[in-house]
Amino acid sequence: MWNIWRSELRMTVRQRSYYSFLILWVAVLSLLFLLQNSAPSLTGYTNITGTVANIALYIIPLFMLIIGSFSIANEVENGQWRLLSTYPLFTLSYVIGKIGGQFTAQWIVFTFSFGISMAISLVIGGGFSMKWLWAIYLFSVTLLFFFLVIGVCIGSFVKTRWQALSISVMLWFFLIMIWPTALIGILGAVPYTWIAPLMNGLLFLNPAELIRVAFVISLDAGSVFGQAYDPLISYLGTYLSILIYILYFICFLAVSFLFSMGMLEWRKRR
Amino acid sequence: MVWIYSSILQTFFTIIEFNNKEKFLRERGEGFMSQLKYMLLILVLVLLLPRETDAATLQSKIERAAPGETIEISEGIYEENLVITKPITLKGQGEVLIRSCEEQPAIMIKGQRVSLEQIQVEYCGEEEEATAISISGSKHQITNFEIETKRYGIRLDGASEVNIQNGLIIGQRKGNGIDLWESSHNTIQNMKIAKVQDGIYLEQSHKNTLRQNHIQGSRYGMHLMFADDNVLEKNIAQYNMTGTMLMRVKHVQVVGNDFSYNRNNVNAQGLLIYFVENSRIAENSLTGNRVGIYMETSEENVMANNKVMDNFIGVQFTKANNNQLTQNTFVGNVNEAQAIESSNNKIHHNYWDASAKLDLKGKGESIFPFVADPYFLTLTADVPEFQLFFQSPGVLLLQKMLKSPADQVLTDEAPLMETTMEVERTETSASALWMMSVGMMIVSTSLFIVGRKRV
Repeated sequence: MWNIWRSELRMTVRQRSYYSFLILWVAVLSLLFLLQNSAPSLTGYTNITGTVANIALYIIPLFMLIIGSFSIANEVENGQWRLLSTYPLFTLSYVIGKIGGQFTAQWIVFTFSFGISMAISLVIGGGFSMKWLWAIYLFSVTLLFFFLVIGVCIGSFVKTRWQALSISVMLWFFLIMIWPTALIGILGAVPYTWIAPLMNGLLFLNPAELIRVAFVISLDAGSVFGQAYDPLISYLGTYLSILIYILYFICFLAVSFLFSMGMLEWRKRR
Repeated sequence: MVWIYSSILQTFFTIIEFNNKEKFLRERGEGFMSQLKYMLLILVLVLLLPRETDAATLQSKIERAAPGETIEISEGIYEENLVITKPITLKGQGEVLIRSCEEQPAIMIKGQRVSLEQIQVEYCGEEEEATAISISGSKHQITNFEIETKRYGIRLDGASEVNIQNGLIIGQRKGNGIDLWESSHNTIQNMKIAKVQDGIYLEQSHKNTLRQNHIQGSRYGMHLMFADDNVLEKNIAQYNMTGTMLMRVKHVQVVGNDFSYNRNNVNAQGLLIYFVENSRIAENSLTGNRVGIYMETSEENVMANNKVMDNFIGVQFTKANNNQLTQNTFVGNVNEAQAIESSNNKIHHNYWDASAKLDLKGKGESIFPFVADPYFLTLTADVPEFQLFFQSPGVLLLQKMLKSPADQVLTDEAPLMETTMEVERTETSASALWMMSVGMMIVSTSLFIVGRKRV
């Protein structure tokens, strides 16, 4: 597992495209920080914060899905996967190593870019609130992780990189862009009393939504979601919420591992 | 008091002694003189003692005082219920505490020109309508006081020209701090009120002035019902469920108040306006509320020069027509403004930080109108559960695609280029931010170097 982890990390950080991510994140984050700087107000969850979070929600999941799915699809395409299959390697270690290595690499480049963008904004003469910065940072890193895992799941069953790309974009479009539209459409067909529990349940189905809601709550803005979510928000606002998040994290990982393992095993046997 | 008790005790023992002595004497036939002494003593006791205790109570002092007299109360705890009906002044010397758990108020004021000064009241009456101080009549002055109450703090019933100021009221969220019923021309100022139901509640009470009061941790800061021509000036209502609520009132002036951080309830707002006419809301600061100003079914009101900042929704109109919204500054609100079923509102010359700004004529106003789309509000009005999509990226997309009809949007035809007032920012010190930035770079770089190494 650690070998896969290290080799994945080494391979990623040595790729030339890896450095293009550095430029991308620095550009995007610097722009977002400038945007926040131009806002006359900095306390808590504001319009600008919403915009910043939305831009992160647009861009991070898409890239992470593509990177995650490519990291396996690439090996399948160039035959490295077949070679690896001949080794006595446990599939789970392969999946964990892949996710771990890839996440470490992406985390490094993101954190580095975050630091640089902060430095740039500070040099230009901006001011921030520490809490806000940490909230944005953790929000982005969580998004990064969850969508990398989903990307690896996609990679475990596609045959080519082209397939990986199209499925990644499809999933991104569904989870990020038309999620509310789809839900509003579907929930219009169910009895009214089912809407509340279904919305609560479906929230946990889409990690992007859950992370976004957790982010808004972390900035003490949970009441924007209205009376219908008062119990959920006040519950997620307490320290007990950490337990829920951990439980969710474990369940999410377990399901993804099982899925990608099963898919890879099935592929091995063919 | 101690002296009285000890003297009673002494007499009691003397009587027993007398009794024994008398028995002894009667046997000897010498009873008459002692019997006379005995009776005389009882007589003295009956005549003297009650008058002694009576004179010690505050109530008796009040009753004996001539109109216009000042009673200075010496330091101590008084477990009494006072009734004051004539124009006198009660002034506490040092710590004067009046304590009561009775059904009737700790202090009841009637008539005219009663003054209370430097008095603390601890009231634990539990009845629904129980109040620490009850006031009727006119021209009373209540100053420099403290009230701790289980139910109401002060209730004015049919009172006028009463002046209540420099006081502190702390409750248990079971009654209003100051409650006015059919009371007009009163002034309430410099009050600090916390943990009550409504800080100051006015019903059927007109032409009162509420000034520089500070209310927090309560349900509503100030609450006006059927109360016209009142003035709310420079009050602070923070961390309540709702800063101030105006309901079915006319000609009210709300000027220079600070209604902030009223957001911990899903129904919270800075200022709630319902069935209000011809009122003026100006120069107020509404910061960090769930909704800054919520207006429903109200007409002909003017909202000007308010600072609406960092609220989740800046202003929200529902069925509000013919109002004027001008010269306000909207910054940092998650949603600046929303309007449903509202028409003929004159909205112009406000500063909106979310608007696109371009000044072509050099008049300090943008050529692009500011448009607030009510799509999200209409969506969540039918199914409140959809509010979870608040600012979700997908909903913004949906909103862009399904534009609301032009008559439903709230539009500022001439938004301002600059804010109409100073707006402050809270920032973390630059050195801490530099440390965070450099720390992130160092950690990631070292991991990067480790990751690149050949095994």
